Amino acid sequence: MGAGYASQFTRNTAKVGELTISYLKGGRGRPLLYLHGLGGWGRWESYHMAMGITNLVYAPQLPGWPDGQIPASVTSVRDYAHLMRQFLDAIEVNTVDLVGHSFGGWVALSLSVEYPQRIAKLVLIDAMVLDVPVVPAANLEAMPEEAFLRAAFAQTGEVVIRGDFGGVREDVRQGQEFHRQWKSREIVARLVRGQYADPKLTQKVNAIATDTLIIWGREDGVVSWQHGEVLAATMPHARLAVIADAGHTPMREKRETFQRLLHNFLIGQEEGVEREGVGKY
Amino acid sequence: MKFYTFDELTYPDVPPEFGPEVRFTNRFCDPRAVNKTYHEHLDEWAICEELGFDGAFVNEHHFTAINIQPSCNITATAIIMRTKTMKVGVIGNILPLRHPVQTAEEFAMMDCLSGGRFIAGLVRGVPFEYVSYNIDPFTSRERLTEAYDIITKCHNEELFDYEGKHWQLTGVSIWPKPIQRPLPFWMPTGSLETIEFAAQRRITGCQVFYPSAAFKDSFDLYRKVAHERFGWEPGFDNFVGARLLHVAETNAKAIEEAKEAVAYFFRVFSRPVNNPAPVPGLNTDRSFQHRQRIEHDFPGPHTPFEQMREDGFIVCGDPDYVTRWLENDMKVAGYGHFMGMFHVGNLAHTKVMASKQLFAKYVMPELRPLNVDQPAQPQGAAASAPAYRVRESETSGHLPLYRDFNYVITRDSPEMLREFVQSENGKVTAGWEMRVPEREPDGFPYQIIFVGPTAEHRGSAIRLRLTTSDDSEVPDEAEVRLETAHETGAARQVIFQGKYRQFRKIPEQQAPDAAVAVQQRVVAQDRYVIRLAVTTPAGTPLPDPAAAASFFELECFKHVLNVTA
Repeated sequence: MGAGYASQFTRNTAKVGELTISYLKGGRGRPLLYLHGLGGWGRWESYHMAMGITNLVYAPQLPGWPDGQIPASVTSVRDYAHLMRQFLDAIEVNTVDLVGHSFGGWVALSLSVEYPQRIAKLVLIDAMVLDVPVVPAANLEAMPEEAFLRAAFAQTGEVVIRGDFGGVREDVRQGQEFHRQWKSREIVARLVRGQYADPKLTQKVNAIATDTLIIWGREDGVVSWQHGEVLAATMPHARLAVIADAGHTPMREKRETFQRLLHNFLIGQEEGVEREGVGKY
Repeated sequence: MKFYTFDELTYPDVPPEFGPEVRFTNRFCDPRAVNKTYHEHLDEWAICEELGFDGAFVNEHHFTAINIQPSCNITATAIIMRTKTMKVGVIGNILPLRHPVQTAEEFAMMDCLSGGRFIAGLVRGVPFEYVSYNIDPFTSRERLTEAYDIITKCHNEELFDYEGKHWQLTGVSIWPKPIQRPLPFWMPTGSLETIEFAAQRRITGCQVFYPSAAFKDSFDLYRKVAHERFGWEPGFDNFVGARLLHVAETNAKAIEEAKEAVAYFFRVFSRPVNNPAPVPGLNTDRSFQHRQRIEHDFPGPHTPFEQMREDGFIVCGDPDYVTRWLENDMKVAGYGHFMGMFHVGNLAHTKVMASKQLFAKYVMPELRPLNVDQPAQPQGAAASAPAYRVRESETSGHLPLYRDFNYVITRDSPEMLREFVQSENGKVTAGWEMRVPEREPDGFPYQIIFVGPTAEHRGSAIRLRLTTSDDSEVPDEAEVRLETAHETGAARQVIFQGKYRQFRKIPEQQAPDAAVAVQQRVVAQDRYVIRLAVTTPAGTPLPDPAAAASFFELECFKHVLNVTA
């Protein structure tokens, strides 16, 4: 395990039927499939490196991102799950650790229900999918920009983004990350057509026996952390970590806490996870 | 205030057409230019002793033109050999990437070479070092903690074993050990976790590059943590402020010269692995929460030079400007040691020398009286560090037997030659003869060392019972003699001589520390015969060394001479 393997990545493509799926590959270890959410495609981020220390990470860009041209063959989230199974076949990877964020979490759950034998460990981060009538997921289509900003980010206005040396200030609303998510919101909205939950899949998550870590930003206004609580209570081998002062992308807003939770789960040493700002339910 | 010189030792000759857009591999490195800059730096460090500085510090980095000292212990040693009185320190060794025992050994060597002028230092390293060394950054703090523990054990314990997560060591006892006990340690203390680490161990904390307010934030937190969690009050002497510094006759000249040198610094501030994403695992989300204006921590590519000068990333100007700027900085931040980083980027050697002269002549005397601790103040690590610990030994009147024996000669040993019973003038002498062979079965010659008494033990054990033909033991007044000589009879030495009574009066010879001990240190080399003989008075029953109940045990140290050419 080392930062060297994790910092090196390559850009690749795989042919899946008529589709060409581009993906990033880096790190070393057990194969891991990372499914992006509203943000997090096409770049080798710090959290990809965190996973690459323990795992050989495959981070595909879901067809339809970022231009919104969803392939005709994909009409549901389940289709994306099938596509990802075909993607694994194409790159000749059988069993993976599976990590899904936001919309990618929905795809990951669908994949886990349909192909449980191919998933070794599962991580769900602020995942869409559940039908929780008391706190339904946000209707992305209907959200104005300002409301989406406040739903997706715990901290709006100027924030400091730390680099390897010092930090830089960024207005979240003007930042690249917000624009990527705002654009993704349209793609997801077009695909799900107002159905931000999958009642059928919700009924099946109790059958997922995979060792699972669920991570959620407590301030997530896109999908409430209470969805994580329901998942943790329903899935037989799941536990939940809620990160304070983080919204829909805890990997950005509480980068270090998020990465340490993920790293410790992947190496199977969850003791000693920093407790500050993290609640377990 | 105490004053030190400290440099990154930047490679000066990267051609102007290259910047951080390229991978900074060693194709830019001309070893001849390195030789020249090393010697210029050595002159710049050595002159500080004449100029009245208190010391010189160096640090190490890997894979970068910004600092071409991958082992700063070598540069520190060179400075030690060029100076006589001032301190020489490293700040520091990248402990998670080094072997801690070798680091401890080198620290001890430098302290001995300098006559006790050395200041040790530790750092965790920067992200890209973890990348190219391929170390798991999530383990960096564990590795730092273990390494520091091992180093302090090396310096403070005679002999120890260590069982850690990253290091497992046995039988460590370093040569040399340092003159200073405890050896002082300094380290950069930026993050909360590092502050906690340093405050617990009373390691002097250092800040570099950031504005006065950021220095203050960190030192204040250190004071708070030390007071609230570890029950001590740091003084000025527990804090170090380090800054890029350039002094010239006028402000305009200083700015012009420094501007160019800083521009070079940022041009070559790059690395062989270009990945813009921050390396994970080195810090936590709360590491820097104590800093009020974190966005000014480190200048970005577009930070105007005036802003860097204002924030103290570089302090440059005429002696008056520099004095006033630093006076305010020292008062705001509250440190008692100042490190001037005079050799900025590729600043010319002559300009560095001139800057140091001006600083020593005009600036240092003005600032000397600032931030001086009262004598009663605890001095860094000295207050809490453990005294040198010798290996556990008996302190009671009754000394133990020698415990580090690794071999026991008995009747069944391969050295056994024969049992004997001889009669002369009515006295009977009986016992056993052994011989140290030319080679042991593995092919190496060896020595049998009977360990004599020292201040710590009585010597190695001898156990003996010799029965007689009537099934009792030889009488108390029988003479016992253990001796060795070359098989030719030369070089005879007595190992033990006494009465059988001494053995018989011990109820259980195998009980701890019960046995009779060797009387002097004797070495039986190859082809030596060892003879354990008991002489009984005339008219007593015949001794029987071949009887089942007769036995002996000679504890000793078997020293195998497995030296290969």
